[in-house]
Amino acid sequence: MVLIAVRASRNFGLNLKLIDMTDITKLISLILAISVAGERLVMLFKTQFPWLAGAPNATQAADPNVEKKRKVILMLLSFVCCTLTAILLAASNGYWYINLGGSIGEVTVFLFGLLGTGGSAFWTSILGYVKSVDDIKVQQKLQKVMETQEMRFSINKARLESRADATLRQMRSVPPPQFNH
Amino acid sequence: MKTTTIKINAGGGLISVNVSCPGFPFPIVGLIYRYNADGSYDQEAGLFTYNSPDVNLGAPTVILGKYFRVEGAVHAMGDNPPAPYKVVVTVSQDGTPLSSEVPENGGSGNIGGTDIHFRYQFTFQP
Repeated sequence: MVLIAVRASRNFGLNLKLIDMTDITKLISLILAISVAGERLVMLFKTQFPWLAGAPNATQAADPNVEKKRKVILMLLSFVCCTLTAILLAASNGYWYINLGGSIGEVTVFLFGLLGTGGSAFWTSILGYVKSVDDIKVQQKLQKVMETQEMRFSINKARLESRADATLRQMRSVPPPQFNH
Repeated sequence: MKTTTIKINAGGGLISVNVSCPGFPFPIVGLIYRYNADGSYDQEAGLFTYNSPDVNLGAPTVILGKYFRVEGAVHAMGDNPPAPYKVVVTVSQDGTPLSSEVPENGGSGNIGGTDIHFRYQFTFQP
């Protein structure tokens, strides 16, 4: 139950490593939580600065340059908000890394900030997908266990039947015993 | 060897024998032989195994005056120290048990690495 995934190490380098499915689920759940919190912060800014929320009238054509600028600012704001949330979560671990333990270990808050900008809807879908894969893995494992048990049962049954046949053959190979009154 | 006499209803239904090792995890297997009243061999009445322990002997009219001998083996499973076992032979008429007995010859005891053979003889009386 392993997957090849990217691990962010303390020196910011990316190592390809086999990561446990449970750890991946844990990582995605945390990114999702950071993303949701980041979105709330962005929403706060949008309320304070309505220009960030876009044109109030949908029918009114927006200036492409202004719209481009707005989107870039929103993306940067989202990154800052998600990173800030991650920093707050990492407070007990020196502010710059979140320790997930297991096969992932420490992940920098900037990576969480970057991934968090994907949005909660995206990470909810990813989490659902990972959980489905995990379920399939569990099912496959169960099936394997059942197949092994079935095979073991068949072998034992065959052994018992073979012994029974051998005993009966031996008994029939000699004349029937005399009856003792 | 002791021969058990079992009373049956001469006008009743089929007689069957169940040879099993209830409560003990040992497979058993064997044959039931049928003999005439003078003790001469008649025919093989049936066989029993761990997964089919019942043997039908026939109607009372056919089996009255005949003698039966159960010859079986308890298969050893390599228990160390030897584990206890007990074989029970149950004779029934129409599914109602008439007699249930542990064979005196090898029907109970402890079994280790060697198969144990057991014998049981019986006849019927109306």
